[in-house]
Amino acid sequence: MSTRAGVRRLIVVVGVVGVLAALFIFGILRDPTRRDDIPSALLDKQTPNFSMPLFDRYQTEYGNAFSAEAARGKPLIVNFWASWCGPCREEMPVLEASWLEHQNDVLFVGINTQEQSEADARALMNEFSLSYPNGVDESNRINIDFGLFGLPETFFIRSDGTLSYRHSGPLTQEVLDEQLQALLSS
Amino acid sequence: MIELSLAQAGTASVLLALAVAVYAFIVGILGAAQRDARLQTSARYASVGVFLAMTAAVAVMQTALLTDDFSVKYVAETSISTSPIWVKVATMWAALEGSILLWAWLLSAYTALLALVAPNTPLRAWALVTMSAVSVFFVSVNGVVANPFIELANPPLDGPGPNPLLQNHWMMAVHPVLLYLGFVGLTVPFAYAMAALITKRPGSEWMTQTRVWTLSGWGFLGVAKIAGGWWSYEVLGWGGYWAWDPVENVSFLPWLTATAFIHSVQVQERRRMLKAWNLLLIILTFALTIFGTFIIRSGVISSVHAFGNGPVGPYFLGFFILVVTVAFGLLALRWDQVRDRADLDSVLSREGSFLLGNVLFLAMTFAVLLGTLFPLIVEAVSGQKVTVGAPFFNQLSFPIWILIFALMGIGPLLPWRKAEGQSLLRNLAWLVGAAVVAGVVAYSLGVHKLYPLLTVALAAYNLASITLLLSGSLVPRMRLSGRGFFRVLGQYATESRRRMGSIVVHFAVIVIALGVAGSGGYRVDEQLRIDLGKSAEFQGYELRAVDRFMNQTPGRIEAGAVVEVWREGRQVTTLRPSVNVYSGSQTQPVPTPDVYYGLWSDVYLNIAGTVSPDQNFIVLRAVQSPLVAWIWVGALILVLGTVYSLLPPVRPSRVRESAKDVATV
Repeated sequence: MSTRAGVRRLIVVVGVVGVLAALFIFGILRDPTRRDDIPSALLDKQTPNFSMPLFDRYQTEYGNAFSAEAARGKPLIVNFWASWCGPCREEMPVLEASWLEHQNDVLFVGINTQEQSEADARALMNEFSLSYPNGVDESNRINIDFGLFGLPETFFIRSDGTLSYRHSGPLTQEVLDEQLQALLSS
Repeated sequence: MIELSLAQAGTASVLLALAVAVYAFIVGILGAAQRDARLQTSARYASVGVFLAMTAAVAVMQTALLTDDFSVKYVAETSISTSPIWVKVATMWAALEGSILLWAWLLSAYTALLALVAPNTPLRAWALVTMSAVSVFFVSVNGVVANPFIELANPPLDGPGPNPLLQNHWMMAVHPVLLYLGFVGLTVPFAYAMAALITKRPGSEWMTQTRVWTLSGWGFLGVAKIAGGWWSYEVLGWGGYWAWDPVENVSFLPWLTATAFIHSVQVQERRRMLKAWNLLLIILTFALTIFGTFIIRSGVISSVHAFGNGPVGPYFLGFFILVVTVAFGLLALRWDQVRDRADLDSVLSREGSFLLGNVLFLAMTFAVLLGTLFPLIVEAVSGQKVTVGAPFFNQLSFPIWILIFALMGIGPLLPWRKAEGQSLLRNLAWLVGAAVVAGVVAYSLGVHKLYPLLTVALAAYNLASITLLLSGSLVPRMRLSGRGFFRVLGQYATESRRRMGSIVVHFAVIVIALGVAGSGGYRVDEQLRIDLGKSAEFQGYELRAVDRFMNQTPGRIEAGAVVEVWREGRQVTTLRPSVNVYSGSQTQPVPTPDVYYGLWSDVYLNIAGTVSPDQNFIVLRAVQSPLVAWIWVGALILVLGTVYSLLPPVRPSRVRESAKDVATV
């Protein structure tokens, strides 16, 4: 008698453990990099104003410094990157190509943040011949203001300064196109 | 002769330890099952062998770290040649592979110690088998999925250095060690509980034989949590110590169940009740330590403590599933033997209060567990992403804490079996009276928030309880012996170390609770901009920005401000909050707050913004957390109380013997 009751209890234990195991296996298998599913706290709100010095190669065309306030009136795509960040390299060609295509309708700006080597940062801009303006987040204040989760991270800002979309992780062509269209049509 | 590199020597030691641990496990099972003393002895010495091999591995790792041998991958990925020696030593537990090495080493040390000193009881053999099984797992983590001794063919000239946040405070060298000592210590009662289930001896022997391990493990775990909070307070720069982050929560869970356990064992010792509860609690405690490590290391739940390291997560998950299936499965099969035959005589009894305390601690465990896992559950069921923040945990846990706090005062005053109505009412009248008086005084002094007010009232209630407990024991003795208060107290304290230790620990809880209520309820957080040479007002203090400073040492640049703290025309102290930048790959500036601790309040200054030579002002984040120092002092009292109750009791026979010695001399 008691062994049968024991087996019954054992089955309950195994069942409960099974449910727990299934939950955690789901947790492991799901893609942990898809953190962009958590919406930014800035969504549909005014994005922070910021200004930053531009790298010298952009100064003849865009001036010594970039000011977000002065750039209002046109949609803005803000991309945070650093030279040590591998995934940042993946998205740079995508960003540059899209910029060359849409530069009349939207402004791209790159923000070099949490940098360790200015020389590496310059080399990276050379490597991908980035022609949209890039500047330096000198004291890492801009990335704090934007509530950066990690690198790379890209903010799609409407012409009135409100945030349309935030993407963390490397941008793919599809996401960039889709969000750019949403930005242009708003 | 073959020359081994450090990496090869380390890998060899770990693999040797793994092989010997497997041997100890298998031979231990055979020896225990066949009751073969020779096999059991062989398994015991094998456990010592595992410890020696793991000690060799740790020695190799320390050598590699101290001699900057960057051909060892772990050293190349976490250390840097410019670190001071203490940082290099502690770098061993600054990242995953090394901290598992530490854990496995401590576990092997405890297993070896147990094999050598534990009395030869029917439980020992199976307890050692369980310890060996856990050792096999941890050593295999190092041997298989997280080997710290991988050799780099092309070693770098220098490494990136450990995370700057960890280098910035000595506490980070201590906190993980304390935490692992807690986890490993609580493995011992778990192992004996397993032995009790396997050998069908669910009496109280498994608990009495592990009392020292349990209490010390619980003590280490508690102190580790507070040490982590202290580190967070003094390093992270936001002026807080607890944020209900998943990583904090999961290491809080085993402490909750262990706390329930150390109370509940007393009921079994005294009344032979709650056998099943105790087994359940200790299995839960051990399972939760493994669960916590899985959550932290697998990245299943996003946390600010970003870890996430490939195969280690699934490996821990597999072990967690194995542990809960085997342990709870065994408990299910043995349920008929462990079930309580006796019923509670009365809810109003010591055992009744312990049982209620158990329920409250488990309710807290469940609430914290649910809050931590909720985002994962929601995502699994509906695909939605949600986050559970501090408000959820606070709302759910505050009422439970208040109930626990109230129970802590009345429980120890209740007699075993059944309380008499009259003496209960008399005691309660004292407690409630103290609570009301303290509550009214606190309210008139400006404490108007509910939970802080309740905490103050219940602190007085608990102090009254301690007074009643002591006077109940001391006053009759004073009358009988005619001795003074302090002599009787001294005598009582030496004779009843457990009782005295528990009173001291409960006193520590009162102190900590007041610290939490003050710092949590009345925190002030301000941003101040002060021109150099000028001053600003903050919470009755005057902050004078005197100067800036910049120190450069190899491996570290420190830039900060010199701020004098004045109060009522007197200089209280000088604070030097700074921003540190460490060399290595992670060059983000690390805020380094400076704190002045006072009895009633503190002044916590952190640099907000930058300190550059050409600016003539500084921007400070000033935080005041009233009574926060009480938490750290309370932790110290907690340690003293725990250690005191662990001291071996003074046996009257020994006193007599020494008296005889004196006589013969």
